Amino acid sequence: MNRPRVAWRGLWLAAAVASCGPTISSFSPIAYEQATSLKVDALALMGRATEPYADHRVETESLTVRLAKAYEFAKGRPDNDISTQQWRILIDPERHLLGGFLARWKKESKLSATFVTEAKGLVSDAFDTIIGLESGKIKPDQVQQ
Amino acid sequence: MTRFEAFLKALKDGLRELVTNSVQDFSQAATKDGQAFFKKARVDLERWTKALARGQLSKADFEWLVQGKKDLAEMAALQQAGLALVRVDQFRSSLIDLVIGTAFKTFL
Repeated sequence: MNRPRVAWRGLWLAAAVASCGPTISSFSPIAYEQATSLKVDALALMGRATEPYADHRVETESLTVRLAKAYEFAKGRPDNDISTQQWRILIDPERHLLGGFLARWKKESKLSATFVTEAKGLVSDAFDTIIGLESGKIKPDQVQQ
Repeated sequence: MTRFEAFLKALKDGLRELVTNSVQDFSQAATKDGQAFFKKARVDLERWTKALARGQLSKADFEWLVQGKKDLAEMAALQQAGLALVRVDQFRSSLIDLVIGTAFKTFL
C-alpha cells in the first residue's frame, strides 16, 4: 500500500475519532456538591449508629431521600452511566456500603463502635470514588464539540 | 516534498507524541491508584482480623466489612473506567487541536 493512501486513511480515522460525541458526561458542580455534602452528612449519621436506630429514624429517612435524589440526578444526566452505577452500589440496601449499613442499623437497632468506625472508612472511600470521578471529568468550558 | 506531504508528516509526528503522552499519563495514574487500593485493603484486612480475634468485631461484622471492601473495589474500578473515558475525550480534543494547528502552521 502506498504512503499517501495510508496517510489519507490515518486522516480519515482521525476525523472519525474527532467527530464522535463525548463518551462521558462533563463535570457537574451540582453533582460534586451533592456528593461532598452527602458524604459529610452520611458519615456524621453513621457515627451515631452505636445509639438506638429509633432515636435517629427521622434523620436516616431524610438522608435516604437525599441519596435517592442524588441517584436520580446522576441517572438523568446523559452519558453518565458509570457515575449512576457507583451511586447504585453505594445506596443499595442489599450491598455492603451506605445503604447496607443503614439497613443493618435498622435491623439490629445498635451497632458496635469498632464496626461503625470501620464501616465509616469504607463508606468514606466509596464516596471518594464518586467525588474523584466527578472532579476528574472535563469542565464544560473545556469541552470541544 | 509538497506542502500537503509536509502537513501529513507533521501530523504524524504530532500524533505519535500525543498517543505516547496520553497512554503513559493514564497508565501511570491508574497503576498508582490500583497499588494504593490494594495496599489499603491489605492494611484494613489485617486490622479487621485482629479485631475479630480480640472479639471487637463479630463474625457478622467481619463478613460485612469484607463484602463492603468488595463493593468498594467495584466502585473504584468504575472510577478508573470513567477516568479512562475522560482521557478518551481529552485525546479527541487534543487531536482536533493538532489537526487544525498543524494545518494552519503548514498552509498559512
